Amino acid sequence: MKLKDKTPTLALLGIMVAAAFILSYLESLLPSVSGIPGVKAGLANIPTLLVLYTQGPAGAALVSIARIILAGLTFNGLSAMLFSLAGAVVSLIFMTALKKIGVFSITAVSAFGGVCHNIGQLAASCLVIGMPILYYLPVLIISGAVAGALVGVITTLTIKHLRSSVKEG
Amino acid sequence: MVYFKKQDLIVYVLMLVLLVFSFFVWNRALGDTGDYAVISINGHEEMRLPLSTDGEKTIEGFAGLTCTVLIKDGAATVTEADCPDKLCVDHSPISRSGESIVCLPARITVTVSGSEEPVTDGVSR
Repeated sequence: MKLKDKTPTLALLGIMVAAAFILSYLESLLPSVSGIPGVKAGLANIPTLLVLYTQGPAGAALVSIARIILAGLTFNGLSAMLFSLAGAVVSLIFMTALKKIGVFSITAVSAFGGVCHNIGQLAASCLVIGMPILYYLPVLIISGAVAGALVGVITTLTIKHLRSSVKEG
Repeated sequence: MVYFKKQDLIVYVLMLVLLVFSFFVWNRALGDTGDYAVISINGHEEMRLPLSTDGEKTIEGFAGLTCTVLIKDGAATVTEADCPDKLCVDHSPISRSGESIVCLPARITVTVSGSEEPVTDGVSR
């Protein structure tokens, strides 16, 4: 990356981390509809996905991890933070791979990312808590797909409207 | 930019396969009516309560957070907890083998287990 390109990128990443952090907070205020840990809308992943599609995977990883650490240290708690990190790493790897293939829509990539996030998170909780928690797997796969697709649609819309200010990568 | 492409079907089919696979995992994790509520903290079994005897027990888990487990009519529920989210309290009663209630903040799991006798007597490790 050329030096003169760096400032807008830095500014955008900063804004995205801030936006993701706020969305995380808003989501922590929403009551859980299902009573199942891990089932949520994942709104905080909109900025991550947006950065993945405009700046590439390195930026997306930065936004995602910075957001999780900030949210974990302020309101989500340390154990939730570690589970979240596991989910984020798995979903980022798979979303980057799917995006590289190049033929899929953002919605599909995001839906798969949501599923991967929940699987990663469940795998991490399995290590800490034990196998019985696998009982949640089907619910978490469905909710991850639905939430991920929703996040994908919102991100597609956002990118469309921000086209003049963010370059597509 | 579109919300759906024909190729997306590959991804959705892949997720469907994952879902079908997960039901096998779920089926294995879930059996017939169980006999014990096994309470574990941080993955270590702490105690076994027979589902046939009604009773109540308060367990202290990670970071001093507590959960109160009630056994009634052959099913276990968490009636009280001082964790912040109270997801464990909202969970419906469990009675089938393999079902579980998890209190993530307290790292407590309540799992219904089948009739097989525990390898150790629940006191020795």
